[in-house]
Amino acid sequence: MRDAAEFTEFVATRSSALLRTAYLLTGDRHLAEDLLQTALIKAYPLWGGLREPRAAESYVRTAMVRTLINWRKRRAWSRETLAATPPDLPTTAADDVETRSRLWPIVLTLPPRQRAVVVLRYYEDLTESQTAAILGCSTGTVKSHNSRALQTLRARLADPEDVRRLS
Amino acid sequence: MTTPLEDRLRTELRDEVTGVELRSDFVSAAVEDVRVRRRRRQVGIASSFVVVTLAGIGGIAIDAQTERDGNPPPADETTPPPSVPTEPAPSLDFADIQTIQPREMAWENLPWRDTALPQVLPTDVAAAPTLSNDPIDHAVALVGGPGSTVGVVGDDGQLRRLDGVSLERIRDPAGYRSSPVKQGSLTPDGSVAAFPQPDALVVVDLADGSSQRLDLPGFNTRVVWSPDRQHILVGREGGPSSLVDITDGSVGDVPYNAYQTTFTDDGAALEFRETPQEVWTSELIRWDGTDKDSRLPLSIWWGGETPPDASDGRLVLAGSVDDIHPSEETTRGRNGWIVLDIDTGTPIAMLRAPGAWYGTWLFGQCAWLDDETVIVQGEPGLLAWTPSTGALERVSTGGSQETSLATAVLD
Repeated sequence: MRDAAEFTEFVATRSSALLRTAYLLTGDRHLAEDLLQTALIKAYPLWGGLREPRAAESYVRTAMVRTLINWRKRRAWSRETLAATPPDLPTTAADDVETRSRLWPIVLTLPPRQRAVVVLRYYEDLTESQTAAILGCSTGTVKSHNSRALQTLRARLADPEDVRRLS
Repeated sequence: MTTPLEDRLRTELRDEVTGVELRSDFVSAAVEDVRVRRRRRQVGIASSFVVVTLAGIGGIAIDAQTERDGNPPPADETTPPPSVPTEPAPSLDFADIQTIQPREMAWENLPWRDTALPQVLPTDVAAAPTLSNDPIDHAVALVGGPGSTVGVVGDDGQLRRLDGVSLERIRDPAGYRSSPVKQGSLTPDGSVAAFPQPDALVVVDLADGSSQRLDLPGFNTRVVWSPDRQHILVGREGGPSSLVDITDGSVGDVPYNAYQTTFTDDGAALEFRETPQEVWTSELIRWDGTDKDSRLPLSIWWGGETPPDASDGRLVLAGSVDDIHPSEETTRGRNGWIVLDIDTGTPIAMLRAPGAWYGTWLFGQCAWLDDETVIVQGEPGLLAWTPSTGALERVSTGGSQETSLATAVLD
């Protein structure tokens, strides 16, 4: 992956897949494009060292995740939430909420690291060690984030008030 | 071994991205953006699609479209800025952000701003009479014509073709070529023009047509006039920028990059420089030439190749901010034109550039028309933006990316 033509080819062939990951990380189509674009900008100067397409994609995915987390850190002086408006949710009785409500709006409320772990583990199907490499943490930390995320999802699915609020 | 919840997550996440597709121009825009931003980190930056210069009360120059036939040149080291302790970067109050949506670019929806520029900018340089046969007192615009020809728009709104001066198209080591007309070409009063040339700098008195050519080795591609009109800051590809004293022809290298530098009203060089280790921040460096040199951290990322412009203690630039406004509208992009306080680095106002304006935000003009109003380049033409009121007005049509022209305006 040494020259601009290969970079362009990479962007053309892999951006769609990367955009979908970016969308799950951000919850917003336009933010997803911004996130992907930022990751590509970070990747470009290193392009000479990204010899394999898989290495390049891995780098861009890593840059997206870390950039997103960095965005959230900097959001202290912002007033908005990074997540887009959650899709409409059915308001249901507690007994059938788990089967009728959707997980996606709740995923959007997870802290960025937990959300990144969920996306990488359950959408990208990455292993714990691969996820840890992207996040720059230990596998134990990944397990911890994953456990807390699942715990939150279960708890909120069981809470009809949360589901109504999210909708 | 997975749980039902984990299985549901896999299914729902895949369902959620169904229909998430790239917009049609993403790849081309992304690649161009990457190249431009990386190139901007070099000592020299090639020419831009559309550039505007306002001097004092305002010259505007819209630069010609660049011909791109090479890869970006390798990066060079830049001079370290003065080392001064800094405070955290001030943030932007997004309550002040103004967003223009593409539908507002129906020109009939905007009032006209009365300036010295004609409402329709003449661009047919080849068919224009020569300047020597139709002299002017001063110019309101320079227009890049075919090849290296230069059109001069007088304060009567008419176009002349600059003659009696031998100019070449600008080139850089990567093979980029463009018109010699640059945003900084015109002096504030529109009486003198400076053109970067290969291994030279050409200065032309537009009133009498006299010119001087100074030897200046290098791929010179950018010029910025000092407020006193005695010096010209010249930027070049692959080398340091130079400050040329046109009264005696002396030349000295300077530590700031001409592509990101403007002058304050009191003559200090003001450089907007990206911090290399962090994408989303920059520094505003004031080069006084003394131990008073200072820098301010900014939570802004310089956006395009359009250089900044200072006036009355404020700087306007095309930039990006690392934040997202709560409203749906402004999550559609973080790019726009930003006005900030020179002394504090505090952002004062931002005019969001909608997606349709990507090219003009990146390459278009961005300069002060007067103490209150900024001129920026939209897709249909030049817009006057008054940050204090949010008012938007039409200034002139013409000067799109495709027409390869260069202009200047006096209010």
